[in-house]
Amino acid sequence: MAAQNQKIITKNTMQELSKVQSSFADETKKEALEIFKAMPIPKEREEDWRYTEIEKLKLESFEPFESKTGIIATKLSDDLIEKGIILTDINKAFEKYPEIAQKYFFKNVKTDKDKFVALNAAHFSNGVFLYVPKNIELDEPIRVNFHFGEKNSIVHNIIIVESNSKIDFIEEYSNNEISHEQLNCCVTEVYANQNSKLNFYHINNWTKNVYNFTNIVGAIERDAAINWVSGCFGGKLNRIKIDTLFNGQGSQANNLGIFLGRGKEHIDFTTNMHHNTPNTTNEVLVDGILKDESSSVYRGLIRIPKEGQKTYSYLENHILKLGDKTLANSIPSLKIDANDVKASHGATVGQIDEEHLFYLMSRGLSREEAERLIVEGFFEPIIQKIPMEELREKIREMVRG
Amino acid sequence: MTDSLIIKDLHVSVEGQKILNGVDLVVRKGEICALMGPNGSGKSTLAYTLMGHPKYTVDKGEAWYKEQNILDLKPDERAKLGLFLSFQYPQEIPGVSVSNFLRTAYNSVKPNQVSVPDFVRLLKEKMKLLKIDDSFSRRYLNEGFSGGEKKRAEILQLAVLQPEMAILDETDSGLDIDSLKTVAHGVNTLLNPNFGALIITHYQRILNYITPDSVHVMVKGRVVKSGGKELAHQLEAKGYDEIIKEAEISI
Repeated sequence: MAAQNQKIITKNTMQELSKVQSSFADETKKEALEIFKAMPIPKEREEDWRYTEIEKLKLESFEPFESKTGIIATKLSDDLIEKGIILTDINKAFEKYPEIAQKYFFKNVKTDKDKFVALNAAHFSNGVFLYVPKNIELDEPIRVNFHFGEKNSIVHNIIIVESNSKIDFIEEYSNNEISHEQLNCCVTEVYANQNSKLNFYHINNWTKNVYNFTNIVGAIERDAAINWVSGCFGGKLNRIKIDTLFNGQGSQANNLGIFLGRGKEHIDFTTNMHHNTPNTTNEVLVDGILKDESSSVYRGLIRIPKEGQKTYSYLENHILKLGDKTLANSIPSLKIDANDVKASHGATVGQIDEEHLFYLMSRGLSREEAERLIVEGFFEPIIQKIPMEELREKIREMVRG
Repeated sequence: MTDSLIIKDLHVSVEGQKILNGVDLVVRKGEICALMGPNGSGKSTLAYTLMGHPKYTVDKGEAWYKEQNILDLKPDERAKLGLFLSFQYPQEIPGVSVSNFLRTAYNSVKPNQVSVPDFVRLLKEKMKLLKIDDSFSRRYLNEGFSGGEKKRAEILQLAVLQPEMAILDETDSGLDIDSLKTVAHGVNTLLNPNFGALIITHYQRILNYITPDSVHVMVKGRVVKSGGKELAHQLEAKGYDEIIKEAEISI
């Protein structure tokens, strides 16, 4: 993994974000700690946790939630700094840019709805703060690599793209091979302001003893767009939840999700689309493959309240199961209160086709080679939709393992 | 004889139903052997069985090629031995390009690995031979191909992989006359003293373009009549019923 990370960062010079203590967030942290303590561990019967069993997870066994996160980020050129782009540690941002930070910090994220968001708010030690002012179009992506060594990691990130700006943001998460269990908890707040465009790439690659809880909340203002691309690999429990808030007319989102389960991994993937204003468009496509004894749950919600007239929203989920010991669950849902919308969802869960295997094997491919081609081929249509060649190749590499 | 495909008293059933009832047939190296017969006579079952489709159960009999009873081998092991089956209904494999697939297959069946540029050259040459457009190699394997394109893709695979013993299952069905000529031309370029083929067909049409050394007629899971290429013409003239009657009398 380290080698792959190296490869991806050679394009830009990178900087290590220093860890600074800040008093700005102390109030929030104190309140969140009370909420965190008071909230029970989520139960499988709760809608947000269906098919993911964590009741036996002893959160206190991970205490103290000390963080040893190494964060390496793009080193901005003097030119970009002059233009007002800020890329720094979140604590530093609270000190140096309090007006911006205060405006956005926990603006859309609720601490009392999810125990792991509360945990994050109470204990985050660092994270990334990215601010892109108006009218900026970046040719090169902004990259951030989070390397969670051997201890628990709790990070909080804020990404703000101001009006008419256009950027690519790539975040990668990884950790060391460890013999003990590790808890990671990330919250990322994303703001795409009027007429901005953000391509947001999230790739995680955990070792097998990791419990990961990632919450990403993106707000899209008028005529702005976010393209989410997520690739989830590894971990004992790898949970990612992306909430997209369509807050302005003409806002758009694409949400591509790819996951691959191996061994006894459990992948828990949620995309919630909240069409809060008229004339918004959305397409979700989440494809996953389960190998060995891995399992998954995908929850995909399209929510269109009365205000969301003229919404176009589409959601699709495909799972390919290799072997009888895998378990796939798919829960797409529509909650629509508006009467003039186009919304639909579809989900398929399938096994590998024996006729396909025979056809490929008859040409000399071993069963393993034939399966490998079919697996890679299964992901190829979704990979083709990824807007950046570098990431297409990266995901292909991750799928090959 | 070791490089001949020798089928002895082959009995095969599918889901408990007997389809082949003792097939005896020899396809010699360097020879083209045509297997004809009415629908449902078991021709395709023979093809699938020889390639090792898991659905077909061998109840009795043997099939020898290169000193091995191939019925004991997995499909990929049979391919590595030099066998090839051109499918009547090729599978559509999403996301796998023709070129990627064929290069993987080539490297599986050939002793030496081919470099990407060398392979691209080989593929282009064979596509030209079969009058296939360049863009074809980037398309997903058989996905959205017309019937004719699928058959050309099968023969393209045959031409690239250059097996020593090919079974062509109804390669002529669904082809218009121009496509048939192109495909037959492709097969004819492969003919050499080390190449043997079993051409399975319902009509003798393809045999106008590929001349068989022997013709065999299969009825109800057995080869009931064998002869030279003139047998195909007799079949065309008289129809299967007549030949079957004659065969029944002779049995």
